[in-house]
Amino acid sequence: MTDKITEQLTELCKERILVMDGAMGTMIQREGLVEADYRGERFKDYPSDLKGNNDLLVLTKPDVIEKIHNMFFDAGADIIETDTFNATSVSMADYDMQFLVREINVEGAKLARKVADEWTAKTPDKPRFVAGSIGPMNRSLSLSPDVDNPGFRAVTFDEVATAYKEQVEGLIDGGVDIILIETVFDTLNSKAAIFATQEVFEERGIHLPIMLSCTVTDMSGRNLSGQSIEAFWYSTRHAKPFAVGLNCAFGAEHLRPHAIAIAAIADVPVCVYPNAGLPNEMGEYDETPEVTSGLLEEWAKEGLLNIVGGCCGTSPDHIRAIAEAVAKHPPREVREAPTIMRLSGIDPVQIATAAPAE
Amino acid sequence: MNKPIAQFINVGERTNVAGSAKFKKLIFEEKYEEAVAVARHQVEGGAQIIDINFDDAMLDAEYAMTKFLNLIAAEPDISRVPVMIDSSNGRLSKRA
Repeated sequence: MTDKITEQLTELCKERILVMDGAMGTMIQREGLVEADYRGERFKDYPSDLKGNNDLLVLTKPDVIEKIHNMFFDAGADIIETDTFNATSVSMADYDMQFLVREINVEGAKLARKVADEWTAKTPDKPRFVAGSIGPMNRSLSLSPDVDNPGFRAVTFDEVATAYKEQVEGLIDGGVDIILIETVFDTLNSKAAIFATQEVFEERGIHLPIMLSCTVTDMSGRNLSGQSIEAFWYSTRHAKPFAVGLNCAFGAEHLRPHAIAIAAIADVPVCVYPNAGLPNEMGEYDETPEVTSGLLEEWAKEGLLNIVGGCCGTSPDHIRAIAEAVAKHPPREVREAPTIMRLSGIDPVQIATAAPAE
Repeated sequence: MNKPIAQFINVGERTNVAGSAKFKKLIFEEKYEEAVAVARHQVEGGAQIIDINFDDAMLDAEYAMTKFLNLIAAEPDISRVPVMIDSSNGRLSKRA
C-alpha cells in the first residue's frame, strides 16, 4: 500500500540525497537548561526530578524546541525529527509521567509540523517533512536485565506494543509525515513498534511512510540483541518501510562497513545519520562539521546514500556542511532485490529458490 | 555469511515435544538448561533452522514456549539460526 507522502518522498529520493536534522539532545544541552526550566509553571511542584526529561520540553519550553527545529531547517534539512524519542509509557515511567505520553506526542508533532509548514511556505520548491521519532525504550524484550536469570524479561511484547501504539496515535494526531523507528538496539522492540504502527494504520484505514533505523553497539556491527544489520533487515522488511538504515553508534568512520552492508541489500532507500565521531573522555562529541561531512561525502560519492543526517553531537553547522557536501552527488540507485526466502536468527540466512530461473 | 544456501535445509527437529520423548521429558520436568543444550546440539550438528514445537495437551505451551525462546535468545551460538515455530494452535503461534 502506498500513500501521497511516500510517493512524494520516493520522487524526491530519485532526484537527490535528502537531508535529515542533527542531534536534539546535544542541542538541548547547549541551552544550559536547569531543573526549573524543565518544570515550567505547570510542573513546579512535581514530586520527581525532571531535568533530563527532554521530551517534556515540548510542553514546558516549546520555544527552545521550536528554535532547534528552525536551526536545522535553516541549515538545509528536508526532514526533522519530533522531540519524542522517549515518549512512551514505559520510558516515561522513569519520571512518573506516563499520563503525559499522549500529550507530549501530539504537541511535539504539532510543534514540528508548524515549523515545517512555515519552511515549506518559504521555500515551496523544497518541501519539508516531519518524522515522528520513536526510540528503542529503556527496557529490552530480547535481553534479561538479570544476569543470573537469562530467561527473565522486564517487559512483554504486548506491553511494549501497547506503549508504542499510544505513541504512534499521538504522533499521527499531531500531524507527522513519517513514522521513524530509530536507534533500534533490540530488534524485538522494533518489531513491537512496527506491529503497533500497522495496527494504527489498519484501524484508521491510513498509511504513512515508515523509516527503520538500527544502531550497532560494537565494532563487529551487531545491535544489542545480537543481530548484524543484514539480519535486522531480514527480520523487519515485512514492514515494507519507505527507508532503512543506521543511526547513532560510533561516528561515520567506524559505521562505514555496516552502511556498505545495508546499501548492498536494501531494496528501499538507505538512510544513515551517525554521531559526530566517538565521544571524548568528557562524553562530548568534538568531530568538526568538516570531518563529518567529508566522510559522508565519500559515502555519497560511492553511491551509498539516499537520506543522510546526524545523530549525537551533530549541530546545525554539521548539517549545513553535510547538506552542501552531498548536494554534489547523485543519490544511491534503489534496485529491486531478487525474490528469495530470507530469514534470520542473529545471523542472516537466504535460501535459494526451488526452481532455478530458466 | 550472507550467501544463499542450498535448497536442501537441515531443520533441527529435536526441540519438539511431539517428536522427541527426551525433550518432552525435559520440558515437563522444567529442566530448561538441558532443553537448551538440545537446541545447541542441533545447531552444532548442522541444523540451519530449529523447529520448536510445544504442542501437548498436558503442557502450558504458552508459558513453556515463551520461557524456552527467551532462554535460547540469550545464547548467541543457538540464536544465530532462525527458529521455526511449529504449532497447530494459532493463538500460540501468534504469541511466539
